[in-house]
Amino acid sequence: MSQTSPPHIRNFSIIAHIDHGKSTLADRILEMTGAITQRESRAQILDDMDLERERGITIKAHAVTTHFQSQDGLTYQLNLIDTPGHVDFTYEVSRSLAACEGALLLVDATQGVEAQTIANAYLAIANDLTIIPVINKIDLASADLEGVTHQIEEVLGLEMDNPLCVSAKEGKGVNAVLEAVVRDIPGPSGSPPSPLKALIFDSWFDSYQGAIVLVRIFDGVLEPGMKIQLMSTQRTFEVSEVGIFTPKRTKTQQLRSGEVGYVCAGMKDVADTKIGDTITDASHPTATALPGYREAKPLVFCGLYSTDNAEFENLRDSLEKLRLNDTSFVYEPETSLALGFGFRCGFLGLLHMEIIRERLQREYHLDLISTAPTVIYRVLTTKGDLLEIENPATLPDASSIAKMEEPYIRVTIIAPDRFTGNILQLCQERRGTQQSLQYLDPTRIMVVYELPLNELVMDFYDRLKSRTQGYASLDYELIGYKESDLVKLDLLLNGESIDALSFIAHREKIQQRARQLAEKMKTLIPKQMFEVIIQAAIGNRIIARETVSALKKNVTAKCYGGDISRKRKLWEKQKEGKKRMKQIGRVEVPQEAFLALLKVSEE
Amino acid sequence: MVPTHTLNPSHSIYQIAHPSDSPLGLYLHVPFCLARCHFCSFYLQVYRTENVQKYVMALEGEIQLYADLLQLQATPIATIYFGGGTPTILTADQLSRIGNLIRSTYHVIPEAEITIEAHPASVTSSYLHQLLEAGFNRISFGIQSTSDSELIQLGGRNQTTQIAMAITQAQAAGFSNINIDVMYGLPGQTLETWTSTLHDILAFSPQHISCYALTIEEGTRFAIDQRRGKFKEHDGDIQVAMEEFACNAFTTAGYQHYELSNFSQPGFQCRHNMQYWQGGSYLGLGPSAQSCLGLTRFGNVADLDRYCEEIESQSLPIRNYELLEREQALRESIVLGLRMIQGVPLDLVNTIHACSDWQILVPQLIENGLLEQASGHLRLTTRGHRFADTVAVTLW
Ligand SMILES: Nc1nc2c(ncn2[C@@H]2O[C@H](COP(=O)(O)OP(=O)(O)OP(=O)(O)O)[C@@H](O)[C@H]2O)c(=O)[nH]1
Ligand code: SF4
Ligand SMILES: [Mg+2]
Repeated sequence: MSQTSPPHIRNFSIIAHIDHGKSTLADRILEMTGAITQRESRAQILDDMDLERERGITIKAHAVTTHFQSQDGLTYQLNLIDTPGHVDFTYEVSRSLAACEGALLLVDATQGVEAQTIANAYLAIANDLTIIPVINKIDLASADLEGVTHQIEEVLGLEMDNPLCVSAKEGKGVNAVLEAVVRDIPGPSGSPPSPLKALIFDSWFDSYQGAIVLVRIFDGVLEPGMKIQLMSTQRTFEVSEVGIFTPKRTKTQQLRSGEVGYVCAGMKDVADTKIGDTITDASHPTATALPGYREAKPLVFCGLYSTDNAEFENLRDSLEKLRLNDTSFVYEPETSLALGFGFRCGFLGLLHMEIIRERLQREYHLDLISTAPTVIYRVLTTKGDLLEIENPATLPDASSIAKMEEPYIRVTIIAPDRFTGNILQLCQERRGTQQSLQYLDPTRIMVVYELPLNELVMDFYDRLKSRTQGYASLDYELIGYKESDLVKLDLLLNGESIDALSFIAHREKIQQRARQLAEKMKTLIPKQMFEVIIQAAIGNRIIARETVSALKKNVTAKCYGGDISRKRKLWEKQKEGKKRMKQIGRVEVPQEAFLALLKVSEE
Repeated sequence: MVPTHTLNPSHSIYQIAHPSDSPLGLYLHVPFCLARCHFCSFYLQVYRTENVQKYVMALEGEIQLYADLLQLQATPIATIYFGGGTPTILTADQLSRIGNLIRSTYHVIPEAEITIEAHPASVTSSYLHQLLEAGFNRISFGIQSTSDSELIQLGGRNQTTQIAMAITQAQAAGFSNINIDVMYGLPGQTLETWTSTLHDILAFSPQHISCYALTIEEGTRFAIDQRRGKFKEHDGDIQVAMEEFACNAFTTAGYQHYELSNFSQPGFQCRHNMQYWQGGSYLGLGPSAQSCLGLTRFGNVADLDRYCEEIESQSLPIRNYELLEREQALRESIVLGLRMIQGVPLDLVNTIHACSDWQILVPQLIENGLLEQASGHLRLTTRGHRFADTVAVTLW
C-alpha cells in the first residue's frame, strides 16, 4: 500500500473558524480521490461521534489517508487531518499541526476572517507550516470574494495573488486546491533507514485492542512485530498492528517515514499513550525525542454528582471510560454536604464541559447534577501556604487569606462595527481592560481585551451573541494570574448553607450577583409544604434574601372515572420529577437550581 | 394494545370482568351541551338533533356489544350513572328506551342507584316525572353558584330562578336523592358571595352536595383568559378559607364529609362514585367514557363520529387499553381510596406495605402530619385533605 516514497506524500490539516466548512471540504476531497464512493458518502463523514453529527460540529480531529493523481503525472499519498473549529478544542488543532507540513486555511466567503481564523492561522505560522488560504462557500449569493481576499492579505499577511475559491458543498474548485497542496506544501523530510522517531498525536481506546495510537512517522519505519519504546516512560511494547484510515480502518504492512497512521501495541494504560510522546525502536533508539507539546490544561471546573448517590461508582466508571479517549479532562472525587459524593471535573472550556456532561447522561444513562462552572483561584494564606482553589466551597476563611489571584485571558472579538459600543460596554462590565481596537476592513472591527476568566465563564458568550445579534466571534487564551479582590458568597436555604451553590466573585460584583442569584433561585425552587427562605451571605453577613411561600394546597377537586387515568399519568410524571430533585434538609431542590448562577439575567 | 376492529379483544376484557361476582358500575356519557361552560373540559359537542339520534343508536349498539362480549347477564349492576355533557338533553323517551335496554340485557339489581346529571334550565315538571318513571332515582344538578353575576362568568348557562325552580320541582315530583354541585374559587367570587351560595343551597336540603375548587383545565375558556391575564386564580389562602368555611357549614347542617369534595346526609353517599374510589369495577359507555375492569383500564375514543362508525362495524371503540400489574392496581386503589375521608383499611395497605418503599414513606407522611391511623384505617389528616396529591405522588 504505502510504496510512495517520501517526496510523494503530503501531510496537511484543514483549519478554520467554526462552521467555515472544513469537514465538508474533507468530504469532497475523499470523494474526488475515490476514498469514499458517492453511495457511502454522507455529510461530514469524518464527524462520526453521535454528538458531532447532532450538533453539526467537529469535536475531535480526524486523520485520513487518500491518494491523489496530480496533473503532474504523479500519484500522491495525502494524509489530511480535519480539525475542530471551536476555541475549546484549539489544542486538537495544535497537535494536528505538529504532524503536518502544511495547512489549508479555510475562510467562509460570507463571514470573512473571524476570531479562530486568526488564532489557527497563527498556530500554523508558529509551527512553520506552509499555509494555503482557501475561500469557501462561493456558491452563496452573499459571498464577498474581494472583501475576504483583502482581509486575508491585510489581517493575516498571507499572499493572495491567485486566490483559491471553492464551494466545498458543490465540489467546485476542489481539484485546484489539491493541485496547490501537492505543488506548494513540501513533502516530508526524514528517512526510512534512520532510527524510528514517531509522534503520538492522538489516541483512543478500543475494547478489543486497548489503546489505538495515531502517529506521524518522522524517521524510520514502524511494522508489526517490532519492539517499540515510549520515550517519556521508557516502557516497551510489541507492535501488533499498523495501518491507516481510508477513512475505514485499514491494516498495512508498515508505516514509513513521512506517513501518518495508527499503531496497536497492547498498551492498556492511559499513561502509556501520552499525546506528544515520541515512539522509537527499542533496539535502535533515536537519540532525541521530538519536542511534543504542552499538555492541554483544564481551565473550567465544576462538580458533577449523580442525583442518586447509589450511582456514584457508576459515575466513576463512566468518567474513567470517557477519560480513556479524552485526556484533556480531569476529575477527582469530592464530597459536598448538599450533594453527597461526586467529582470535581476540569474541562478545556464550557463547550467541552457541556459535551462531557451530555455524553455521561446519554451514553452512560446517568442523571446528573452539575454545579456552576468556576476557574482555579490562587490563594496565599496568612501562614504563607499557596493553595489552588477549584471548588469555591473549599476557600479558606477570609481571615486566613493574605491575598488572592484569579486567571486572566486575552480575548479577541471580531464583529461588524455597528456593535462596537455594545461589545466595549460588555467587556467593561466584565472588568476588562482594552488592549487594542482595530478595523479589519471598513465595517469590521477586532477588539482585544484582557478579562478575568471567571467573567467569561459567567455566561459571557451568550451575552456577547445577544448583544451582537450573533455576529461576533470570539477567541481567547490564558495569559496568567493577577491579584484580585475576591470574596466568596454562600447561599442558604432555610438557614442551611448549601456548599454546592457557593461561588467566588469580585467584591464590586458580589452584591449584584447575590441579589440576582437569590431572585433566580426563587423562581427555580418549587413551592413546598413550608416556607423556604433563600439567603445569600458573605461570611455571616446576609446581603440578599427571598422567600418561596408555602404551598397552600395540592389536591384534585374532581376525581372520577374519566379523571383517573389522566391523574395516574400525572402522578407518575411528578414522581419521576421528584426523584430528580435533591433533598437538602427538608427542601427539595431541582437540578437546574444548581446552575442558577448561570441563568441570572443582566438585561 | 387491543385492535379495535375484531372481536378478539373481548377475550382479555372477558376474563377480567368475571373474576368475581362483585357488582359493576355502569357509566353512560352523553356528549352534548347547549354551549360549553367556561371551566369545562369534558368531551362534548354542541347539541344537534341529528347527532343525538345517531348517538343514541350507537349507544344502544355498544350496550348490546358488551352484553354479548362480557356476558353481563350474570354480573350484578348496582349503579348506573348518566353523565355528560347534559344527559337531560335527551328526550325522556330516549332515556327510557336506553334504560329498558340495559335492564333487559344486563342484570340490574332491584335496589340499584340510577343517577342522571341534569341541567336546571332543561327540565320541566313533567319531564322530571318521566325520569322517575324511566327508573331514575337520583338526580344531580350542576349549579355551581347562586350568584347571577358569577353564573354569567361561568358561561351563563344557569340562572338562580331556574335553579330554584328545577330543584323544587324535582323534590315535588318525588326525587328523594338529589345532589347539588357547587364551586369555589370562581372569578369574582368573595367569601361573602360564597357564604350566600352555601346558605342558598342548604336551604334546599339536598341529600348530597359536591363541593369543588375551580380547576383551570387546559383548553377551557378560563385557561385562555388566564394566559391573557384576564383573570387570576384566587390565592391559596382565600381558597383554603372558602373550603374550610364550606366544610364547617355542611357538617354543622348534618352532612357527612365522606370524600374530599363530597358531602351527604347519612346513608346518601353516591354509591356509583364510590366505585371509583374503592377499587370497584366500572364500565363506561359512550364516547370518551373510561372503564376499569379488574386489572384492565381502557377508554372509548373521544370523537362522536369515530365512536359511531366503530360501533356500527361491530367493534369496540377502545383506545388506551392497559393491563396493570397487580401491585400497580393495588397502589392505585389505595391512593384513590385515600380520597375517602374514612381512609383505607390497614389490612389492604399492609399488603403493599410489607415489601416496598411504603415502609419508609408511610411513616414519613404520618410524621409530616399528612396521614394518620384511626379505627383500623389509614387516612388523610385534616391538613392532609388539602395535600392529597402530594401524598398520591409520594406513594405512587
Ligand atoms: N453553501 C455552502 N455551504 C457550505 C459549504 N461548505 C460547508 N457548508 C455548510 O456549512 C456548515 C458547516 O460546515 P462544516 O463542514 O461542518 O464546517 P466545519 O468547519 O467542519 O465546522 P466545525 O468542525 O464545527 O468547526 C454546514 O451546514 C455545511 O453544509 C459551501 O461551500 N457552500
Ligand atoms: S353543562 Fe356540564 S358538561 Fe356541559 S359544558 Fe357545562 S360543565 Fe360541561
Ligand atoms: Mg468540522
